[in-house]
Amino acid sequence: MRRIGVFVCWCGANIGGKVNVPAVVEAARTFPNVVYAEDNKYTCSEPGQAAIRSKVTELKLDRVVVASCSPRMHELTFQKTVETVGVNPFLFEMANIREHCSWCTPDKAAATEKAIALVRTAVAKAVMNDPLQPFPIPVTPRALVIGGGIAGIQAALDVADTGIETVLVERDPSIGGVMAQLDKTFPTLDCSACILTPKMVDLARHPKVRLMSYAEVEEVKGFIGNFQVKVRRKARYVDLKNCKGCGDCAAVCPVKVPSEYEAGLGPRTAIYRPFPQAVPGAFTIDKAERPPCVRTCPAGVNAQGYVALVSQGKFKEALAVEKRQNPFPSICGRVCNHPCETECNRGQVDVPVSICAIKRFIADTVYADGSEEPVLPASAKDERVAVVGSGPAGLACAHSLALEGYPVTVFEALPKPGGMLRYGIPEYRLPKAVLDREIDQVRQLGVEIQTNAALGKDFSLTDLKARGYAAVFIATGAHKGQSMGVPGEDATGCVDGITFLRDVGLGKPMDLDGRVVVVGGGNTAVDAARSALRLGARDVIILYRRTRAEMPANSWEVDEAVHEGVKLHLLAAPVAVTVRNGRVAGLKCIRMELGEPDASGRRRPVPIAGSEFDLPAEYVVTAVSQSPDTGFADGVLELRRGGIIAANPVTLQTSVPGVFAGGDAVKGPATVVEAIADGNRAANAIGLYLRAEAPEASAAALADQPQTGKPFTIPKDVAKVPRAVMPTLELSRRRRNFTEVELGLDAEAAMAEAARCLNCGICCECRECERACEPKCIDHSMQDETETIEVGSIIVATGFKPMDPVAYGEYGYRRYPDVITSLEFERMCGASGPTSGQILRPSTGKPPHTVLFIQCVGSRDEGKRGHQYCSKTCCMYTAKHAELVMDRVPGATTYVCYMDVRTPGKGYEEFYRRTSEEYGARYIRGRVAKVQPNGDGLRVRVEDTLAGRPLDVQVDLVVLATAMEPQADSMDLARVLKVGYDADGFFTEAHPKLRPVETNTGGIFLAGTCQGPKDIPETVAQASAAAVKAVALLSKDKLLASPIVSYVNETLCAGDFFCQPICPYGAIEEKELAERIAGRPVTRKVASVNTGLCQGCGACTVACRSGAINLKGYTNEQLLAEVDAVCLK
Amino acid sequence: MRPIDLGALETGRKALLDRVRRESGEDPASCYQCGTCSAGCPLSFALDYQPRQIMRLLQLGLGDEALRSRTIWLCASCATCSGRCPRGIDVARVMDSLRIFAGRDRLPVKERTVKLFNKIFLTSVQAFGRLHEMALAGLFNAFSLQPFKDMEHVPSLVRKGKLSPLPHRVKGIRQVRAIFRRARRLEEVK
Amino acid sequence: MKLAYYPGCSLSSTAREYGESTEAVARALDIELVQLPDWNCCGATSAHSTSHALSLGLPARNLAIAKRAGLDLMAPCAACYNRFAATEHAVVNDTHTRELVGSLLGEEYTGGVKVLNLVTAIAACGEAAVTRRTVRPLKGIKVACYYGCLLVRPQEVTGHPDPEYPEEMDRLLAAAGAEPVDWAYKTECCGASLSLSRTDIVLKLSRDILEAAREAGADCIATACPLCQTNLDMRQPKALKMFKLNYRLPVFFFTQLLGLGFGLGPGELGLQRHSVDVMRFVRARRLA
Repeated sequence: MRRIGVFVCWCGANIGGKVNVPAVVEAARTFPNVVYAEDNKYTCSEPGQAAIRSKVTELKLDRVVVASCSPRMHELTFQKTVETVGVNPFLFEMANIREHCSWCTPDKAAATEKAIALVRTAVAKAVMNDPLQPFPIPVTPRALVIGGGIAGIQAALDVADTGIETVLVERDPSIGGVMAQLDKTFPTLDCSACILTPKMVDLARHPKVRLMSYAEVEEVKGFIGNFQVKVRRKARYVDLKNCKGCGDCAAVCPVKVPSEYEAGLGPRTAIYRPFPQAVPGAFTIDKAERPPCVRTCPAGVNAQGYVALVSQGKFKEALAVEKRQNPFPSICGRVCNHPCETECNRGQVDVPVSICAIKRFIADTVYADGSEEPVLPASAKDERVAVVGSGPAGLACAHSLALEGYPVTVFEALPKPGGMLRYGIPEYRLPKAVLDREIDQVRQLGVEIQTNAALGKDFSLTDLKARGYAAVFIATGAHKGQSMGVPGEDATGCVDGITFLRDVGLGKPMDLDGRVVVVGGGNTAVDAARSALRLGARDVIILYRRTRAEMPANSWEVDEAVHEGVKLHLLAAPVAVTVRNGRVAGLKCIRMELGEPDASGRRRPVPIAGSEFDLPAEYVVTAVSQSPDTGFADGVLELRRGGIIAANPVTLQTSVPGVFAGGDAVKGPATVVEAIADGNRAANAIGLYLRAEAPEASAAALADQPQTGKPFTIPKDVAKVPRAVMPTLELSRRRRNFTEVELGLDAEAAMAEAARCLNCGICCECRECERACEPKCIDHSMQDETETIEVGSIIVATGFKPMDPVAYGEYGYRRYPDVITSLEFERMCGASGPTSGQILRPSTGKPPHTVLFIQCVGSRDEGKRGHQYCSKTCCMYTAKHAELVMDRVPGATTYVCYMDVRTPGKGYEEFYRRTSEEYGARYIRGRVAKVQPNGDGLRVRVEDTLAGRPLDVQVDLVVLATAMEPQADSMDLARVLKVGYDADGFFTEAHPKLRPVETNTGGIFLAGTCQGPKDIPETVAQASAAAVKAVALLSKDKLLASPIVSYVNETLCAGDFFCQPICPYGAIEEKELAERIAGRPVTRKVASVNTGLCQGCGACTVACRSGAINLKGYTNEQLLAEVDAVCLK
Repeated sequence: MRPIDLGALETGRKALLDRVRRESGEDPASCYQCGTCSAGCPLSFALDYQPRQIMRLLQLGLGDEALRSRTIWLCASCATCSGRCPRGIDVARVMDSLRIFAGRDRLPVKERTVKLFNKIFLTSVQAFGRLHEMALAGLFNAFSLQPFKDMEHVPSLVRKGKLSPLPHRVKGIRQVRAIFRRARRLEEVK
Repeated sequence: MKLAYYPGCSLSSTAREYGESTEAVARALDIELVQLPDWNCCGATSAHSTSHALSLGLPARNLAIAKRAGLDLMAPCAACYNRFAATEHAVVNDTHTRELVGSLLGEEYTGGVKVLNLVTAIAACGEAAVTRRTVRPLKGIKVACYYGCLLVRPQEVTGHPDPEYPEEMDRLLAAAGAEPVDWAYKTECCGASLSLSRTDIVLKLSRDILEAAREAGADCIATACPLCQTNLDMRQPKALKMFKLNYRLPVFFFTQLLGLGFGLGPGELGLQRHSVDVMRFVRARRLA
């Protein structure tokens, strides 16, 4: 038999108004175990609590039930009350008859009936309640503040001043937040920086504060008093300690992007410090993921790097960047198929940047003025390397090995080095002089080139070993022209494309008088055709079996060929060469049509029966395909189909250790830049091999480091700019000579073209900063680091972001330069800002005579475009802005279009009155409908709703007072912290009046605008409040944890651990149990609860099938008793 | 101006507001009088009440004034207001409803020509299933007692083959008429 | 692309040239237009000013026909398009409307017809297609693209990304070589159906639009709505005279300009049917 007292509360009229309180008391008296019941006007008040205390002592009550408001409101209050008179707080039970009865129905009878039921329920539970003892848990005496705006700074300082260690995590390179962007602050108009920057310095200097800037919280584990927080410290690429903040790096950075600090009104460099007073004062390199041009280049040449440098006129630096991965810029600048341009993001704005032309310009210009800085090879090494083949692959390999200090010999079968560059690509595309120049540069590194030395004929692989070469790189290319396989191919006048081009390259005298038919659609075919024209052919026809769209040749080459007069004969294939007395007389052809796509994805040509026709011709060049000539490798190296050498795709090592192979010999016919890529990779692998680091293992070492960083998004407002046009030799001067056709860009054109680059990688990794930095504290290879810190309490101060008003098309933001946001206006006012404090019209750069402010842009808007809430600060800062205009632009008129002017704050109303009365700002009550250009200004249409008259206002500048929004990722952080947030994404406090800075998660507090729109005074006040709460928590050495935790009835536990995966706090552990069954000792596993981790959510109790796990204070028995009581009538 | 006894208007106020809510699904009571609609209204220069004021009349219980206004007939249904309203009210739709009520309640109409136009338009559609523009213009002039209106255009229109003298009647004319009939029946209930 | 084609009442009379140019351009772009069998008037403003039920019933009958044909419904007339879009939207999103429409038609219509206007339909072919088809680029033609109200508003019905500053017509004409001008009146109202009943108002609004286009440096206007075109073209001389202005601004249907770019003849495009002569303009620019 229990002795329960029931106390029913009127809560004034809150409950009494609906619920018949006396009736509830009457009913309560009839419940079993209830020895006393009474009602009070306000049970939570002192008289109410006194009543409880006296009755407990007087009647020896052992349990107490209060029927009043929500437990969230007063459970703690009453638990304390009963405790003072010796009743264990957990023997107290509460029934919510306010929210659950009086507030949710107009029906008094129903409310009363439910109230009685709830009291009955509470009593039933109280009967089963057991005394529980809170148990102590340790506290980590350290605080974490997330966010380094004014709120975070204030909170951190306040906590640290009490001597408690404080860690502040700020995601940006500097602390300061939005306040650092403001000029003056209302209502006192004192300068924002003067208030903020000293606090920033204090924070940085504070012995108890650890500042983690450019870092983000990734994961939070643990619970009140004992959090483990995983923080990602983003790679800054600058050594914080040693950076003196001198700015030499920024001075040489070629990349300009809009400055976040200047709200986009001004530029910043890729290596930057947000603002001069930044804390920490160190610089930061802003890197996005590796740009598409670099990603696509087979050789990984840093296109963005040299393009950026060209835009700054730094040509020799640009050349150095090119040469990091590509020793042949002036060659590639002419013949590369530049996949980088296909991928260039600029193509999504207008046309891709003409990267290849820029590349060529750099090399040609720097070579011409001889300003190239020589690259010195590393200290000489002993191991000699043989390179077979002097094409792009071979030479590239030789080049980088030589740079590493290895002695290299190149063996070339033909009389001159260059391979296909010399004997495949005709002079009018790649002048031999250009080729020789860059080959000589390789020689100058000490590379020896032996010509007329063919592998398999003049020497063998074993010879090379014998001659003491420690490693061999085979890059013999694909020089064997394929035949068409039709009768008559051996007739004079019929030759394969490779041979034809080689003869041209060798300068064999040729006079093609008559018609030349070239069979094939690849670059070889087009080169042959255009060469034939130059050799005097009367007319030249390219015969191709598919359509132009399928031609493998570079489209621009085909265009030029047609431009020069080459005719395309498409959808036709040869069936035989017509031979008249040993000489070619023409081709017998058949028409084709396109059928189903084949393996290559191109539609397969199908002959049209009976469509044969004759094509008279004096010469036939067959350029259908080519293959490697690898006879030398027979029985020595493993080969694949088509005589291709088998090599490891990463290390390029062949079946024979120490022998590597690459280029066309391994790939089959491919591009120059792919060959160069292979050469570099081989050199790398050979280096590792020679240093006895097994190349197979070094795949990782060979893979290039991905540039980490955020994904790049193309800015919306990029102006379309036409692409530079490559000047070419006029037609008349191309006949019968091989003068180069493309003439190259001049400096002006190249720089203009380079300026079109969008800097997709942001940092272009040109490394100019590295060279400029005296303390040598720049490290482009830095990586993000994560660190886990232990804290006892967390203060969230992540702030807000101003809304982007672009959704309000009628205001023309971004469309009209003279429509700006209030934050942009702030930057304009800033003495250190882009206009150094002058208020100017972006369109003209002149001061505005009339300025109109539009309030509530995005606030108080239930349409789809904005937020329902009032952003609270706009009325005041707009008044401030209006005053600033009238202070700084003599005689200026200001209009403020408002719906209500809200000035709830000390000195605010006075400020507003001054703005409107003394300064004479013209306040118009009406929301603007449209802003449109008119003359050289803007015309604003608004109704003066007080006069009921539509007005047209002609102004020079429109300022949009944009809404305050939660940070875009506030909800993600909320999930990480397990704190609540409202529909808009602001974090929610536990109770607006009782616990305004607490969250519902113990130990986590809120400060500033992350909780809702606020001005600075309010923010600072809340920050200090949050600090006190944190300190109050951290100054205890132990915490009393709620005893409401799960416990296991070990005899019932089946050890199936269904509870384990359900538990969100990882509080369920396994426990070995030793017992004797029938005298025999046995052990079995049972669940056991880590009470330190358990948060009492009860999820486990539902998962447990044997009902062995139970939640103290809410046992299954207690809950069932409540259910019975509710159902009981 | 004589002061209005708001209390006396209360019942009528609720009645009309509810009627508008039912017909249009929009709630004029949520208007906070910012004037975006009026400022943006291309017709505002010709209106006797601005759209915002129409909303206010409804809020106050002076809806009868709204129903007798020119505004509701001059509204060209361009929906500029609806797109910009910060309270998400489809103002144009409310105007529709008020026109409909004014018509249904046979209230005096200040913009008779507009109502006349609609009437003739729909008569033509009911008769042929499609609009016969020549008939529309002709009848309109006749009934609006301005026989020579726009006559200057007729010759050129004929020359340019833009006026078809004979109406085209759709085969499913019975269905079309049924739609008219049922619409009328369904709405008389309201 | 195959579409159910709803010409609407004007395209066979006052806006004949719109009908003609629509069909010509569609042919040029391989858009197959199947005229909606036995279509009826959409009811336009008069219907929704008079009876909500009627304003749903009349369009619904056409939607139902299109659904039977299993085709998307394309209405070149902005007003018709808007009525169809509005009805479809209401039917799909509101059960009450669905029942209402059912009882009006005497048959169930549950929605499911995609409603297109001509601009979106052509935009769907892609600007590239337009450029490819262009044989006589509209070089140096400074055109003010005038969308009016009903192509873009209300947003939830038309689903237009930016009702305050639409650009799809500009992009199409740019793809054909024209130079669209930036101007603020793209979606201002011309007075529409007040044309007969309150001509005075329409004259003023048309004047404003014409002036805005001219100030923006346009030498012609492109529209996609018969009502707008009539108000800006047929009413232009009077409108300008009334305000003591004496220039003339050709007012094309955007299809006519595209057609010219495609090398189609003035006849096919009904260029001779305008009130404000356009032939001089066209000849001066060697487009015919």
